[in-house]
Amino acid sequence: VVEGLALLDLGVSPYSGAVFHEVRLPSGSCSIPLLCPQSLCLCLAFLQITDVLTAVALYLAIQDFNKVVFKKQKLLIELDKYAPDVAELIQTPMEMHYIPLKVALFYLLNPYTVMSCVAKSTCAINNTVIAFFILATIKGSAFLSAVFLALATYQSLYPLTLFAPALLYLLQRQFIPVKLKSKSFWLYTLQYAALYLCNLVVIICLSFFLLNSWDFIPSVYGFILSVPDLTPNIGLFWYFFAEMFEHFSLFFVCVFQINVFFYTIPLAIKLKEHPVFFMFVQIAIISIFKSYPTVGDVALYMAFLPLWSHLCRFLRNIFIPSCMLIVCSILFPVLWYLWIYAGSANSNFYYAITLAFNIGQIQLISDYFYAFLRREYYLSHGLRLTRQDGTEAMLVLK
Amino acid sequence: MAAVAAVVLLLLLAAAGPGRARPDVLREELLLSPLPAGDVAATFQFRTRWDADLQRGAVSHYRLFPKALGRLVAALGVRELHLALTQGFWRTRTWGQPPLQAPAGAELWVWFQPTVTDVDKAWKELSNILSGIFCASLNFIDSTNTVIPTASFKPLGLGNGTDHHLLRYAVLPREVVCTENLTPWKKLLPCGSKAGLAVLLRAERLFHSSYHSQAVHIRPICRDASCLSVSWELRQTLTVVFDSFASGQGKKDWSLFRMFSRTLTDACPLASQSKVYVDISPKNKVMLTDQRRPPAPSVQPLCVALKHLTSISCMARPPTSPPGLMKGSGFLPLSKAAGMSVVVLTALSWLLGGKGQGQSEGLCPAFTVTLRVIFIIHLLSQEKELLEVTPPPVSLYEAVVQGEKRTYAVYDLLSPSLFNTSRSLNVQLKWTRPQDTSELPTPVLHAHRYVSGYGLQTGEISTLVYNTHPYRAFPVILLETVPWYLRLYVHTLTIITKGKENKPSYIHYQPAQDRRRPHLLEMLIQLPANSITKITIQFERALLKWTEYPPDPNHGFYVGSSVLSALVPSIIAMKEVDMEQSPLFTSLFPSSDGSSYFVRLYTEPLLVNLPTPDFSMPYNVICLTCTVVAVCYGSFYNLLTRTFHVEEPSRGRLAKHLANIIRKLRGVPPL
Repeated sequence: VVEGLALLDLGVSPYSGAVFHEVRLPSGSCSIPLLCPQSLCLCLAFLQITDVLTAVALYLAIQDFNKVVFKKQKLLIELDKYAPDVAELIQTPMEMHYIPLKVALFYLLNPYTVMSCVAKSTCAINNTVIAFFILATIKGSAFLSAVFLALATYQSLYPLTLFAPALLYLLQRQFIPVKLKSKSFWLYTLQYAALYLCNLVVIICLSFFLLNSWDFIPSVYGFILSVPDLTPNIGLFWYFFAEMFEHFSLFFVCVFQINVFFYTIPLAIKLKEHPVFFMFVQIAIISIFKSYPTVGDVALYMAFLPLWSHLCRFLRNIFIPSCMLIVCSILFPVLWYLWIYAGSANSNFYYAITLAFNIGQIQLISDYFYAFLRREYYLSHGLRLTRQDGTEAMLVLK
Repeated sequence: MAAVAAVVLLLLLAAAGPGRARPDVLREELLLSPLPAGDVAATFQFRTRWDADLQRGAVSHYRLFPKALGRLVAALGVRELHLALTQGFWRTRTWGQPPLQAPAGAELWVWFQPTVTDVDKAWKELSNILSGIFCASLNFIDSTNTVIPTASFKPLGLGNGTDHHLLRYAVLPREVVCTENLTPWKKLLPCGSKAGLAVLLRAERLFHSSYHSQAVHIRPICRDASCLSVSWELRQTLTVVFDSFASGQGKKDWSLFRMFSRTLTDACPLASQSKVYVDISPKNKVMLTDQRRPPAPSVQPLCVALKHLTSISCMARPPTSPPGLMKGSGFLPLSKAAGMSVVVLTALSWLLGGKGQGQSEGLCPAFTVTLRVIFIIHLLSQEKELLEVTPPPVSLYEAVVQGEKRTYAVYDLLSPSLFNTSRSLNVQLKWTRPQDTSELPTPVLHAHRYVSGYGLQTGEISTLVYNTHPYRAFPVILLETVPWYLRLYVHTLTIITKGKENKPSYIHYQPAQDRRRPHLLEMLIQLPANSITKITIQFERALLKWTEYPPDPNHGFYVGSSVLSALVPSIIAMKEVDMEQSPLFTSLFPSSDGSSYFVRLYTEPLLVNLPTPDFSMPYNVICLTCTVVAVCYGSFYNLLTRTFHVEEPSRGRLAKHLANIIRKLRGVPPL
């Protein structure tokens, strides 16, 4: 299966630290590449450990988040913010008890995680950093959150967009209202941004001193942004830019890259009360639209699905996206084999599957988003909606 | 009056003086050598030597040296230029070591003067100009196929600067060499193809061959032994291999006319030397020297012969090993043997030292030496009978070429006696007896390269390097240039000799950059005696943009030959030869001492398939992918900008009216 594989393998080579453009992980900053050549087993064990760490971090984070959710619910009920007949929508501690465990297991037992671990993808490390970032954010530690966010950004640039949900969450935790006119809001934002930027600069300088050249900046971030490597993966970029007309290439690269960052601000406005859901949507968008997506990225956001199990009753068409995802996951290796090894299919077959897979993911995420918004509406307006004339009403988006 | 005449004479002499001070010399040579497998290799070499310093820019009058190249060298600060255009592949294993090998396609390597500031620009300009001169697609040489080797290529001429930043090397393995490249090459010759050896160069014959390689080498050389001033040398070489076995109805005999459909009538009037060499050295020489399989003389018949000669009884035992060399041939008259024995004895007594003891031990002890002598003479007599050259050569020339002793029949086209009897020279060679084809000599160093693996994702390049020297190990420099779209993984590089890992003592690796530069891997590997070294490296195939594929992309992509450079220990001690005087076969490469000779080998170019996108799909792909992005954008836009509302009853009022009208028409009560 297509992976961002062999990153570690490249890191193994003694020369890669210098100029190898494919070293998306500048090997100077981490000792993993030095560890890995010894043996395959060691490498696999290491990746398994990172996966377990990710799962533990997610477990702790979600446990904490549940407590927060519960407190918030209690507060809102006490403040009478909820409509009277929404008792069945409110999450009970009984339901929430197993959610952290479910999330951790969902991550560990997800076939995508297993696959990316077997393929020795460095995506696992990336996931671990993001999981620790989430943990630090939910625990309310601004400094650690900034450190891990900087690390994640340093690794793959896209987690930059997670700055917004983290900030919103921390603001909420500090009971600072998100108002553009309030002074404390700006103060805290600047504080967090400064922390984040300092960390980023420190990490980048550190790798500069380890490598003694700035070569890694274009070779890592230029590589992510300008998409020169068109090796087939599960994303949308490779075939699009393989088939692109030369003179439009730059334009579409810009459009596609902006697309990843584009959703952050509208989402931040819409979901400013729910930063964790915002984080989930943002991680999902990154994993769909990043330039070199791998199945490991998919595994990370899918781990959050049990957290939103209370949305299930509002999902419109969960059946179709889940069937699409399952069928595509099965067809990926089949069509890959037919194209690359058997030669009886061509690239279009595999491309069609990536399209279907991505549509499936988009459907899934937008469906969850829809369900989340709908539940919020019901919570504030009551489950029994009536028209003016007293008959049962339909809810529509307008 | 006499005084005036003297002054005029003096003036004339003075005017002629500088002209003579920098004379151009042209030598043309043709070497015809029958190859072991039955093919014939013809190597032309035209050497123009010019005792003038091109770099100074003072040269304005060109005589024999082609002006196009001379101006190029002067303008771009070229110190050395080597260009080879080749069609086909020289099969080192069956054809032996070539005089000058070149990789399939076009090869260009240039050393620039240290005064050149922007080497890359000069290189680009040079390849474009050469592309125009030789009608070849050398303008496709850019940064994606140019490398800077650090160890493999050294300047062959004067000046031992080894700052490799002045060197550029590029190979275009896809280049097809044909008539349009030959014609401009011929035009650089002083006599064109009108006279001299060049009349043989007819395109329709040259390209109807197994191998065709034409090259241009320009280098500065010492003007004289003291080496105080510089001369420039231009070598134009052309090697062609004819499959005479196939074209001659199963016979391996050949003649100039049959190969070139022309004969030689005269020398080029501008040439100061014009010679044809025919390699008539014995083909079983390797058996003489190959110590792994010492010749096993049949003791019994020799003993019987000796009995006749010396009337001494001898109890001969039947030979333990088959009499490989004696089969099918009769005995020499022993009187002749006795006459020559003293001479040959001293020279060759080492040869069978200790080897024949097994058979003759205790049986004919007194005659062991004599036996050997007779045996050697027998071999020599066999060699002489193998082939027959007509017309009889004027002279014979013996030389040690690439570690082997060779004998050449020489025809000097400038000597008037040659064209006395007939008007043209048509060298013919006949094999008097069929050759023993089972005993093909293998060259000391040869290599074989292939790509393995299945599917279009990954693969492996394997290079097998053979050292067949019986007892000497030697190092070899391997240069591998791989285009960027095959992503090499250096950590998978393995070098295995005789089942053990062989660590290279020098390794230089420059990884590729996408669309900018190729991979360059240079290694110094020690080859143990009598061994096969296997070098493997794995790669991954990249998917390219659809505009980057050449026409017919499913044909595959060529990967240029890898270059093996080595100082191969010679089997026969070489004597120092005067480089300037000796002809063609003391090639470009200088030899430091007599014990080894320089060999540069090129392996097979590789053909690698890459995964291809569907070339008819660009519009569809752009539309479909953009649709997917738009689906995401649309659904998120929807959710982000709209809010939930309770459905209002006013909705669908128009539809209700319409429905009621229809219902009224049908006579059904309205809604």
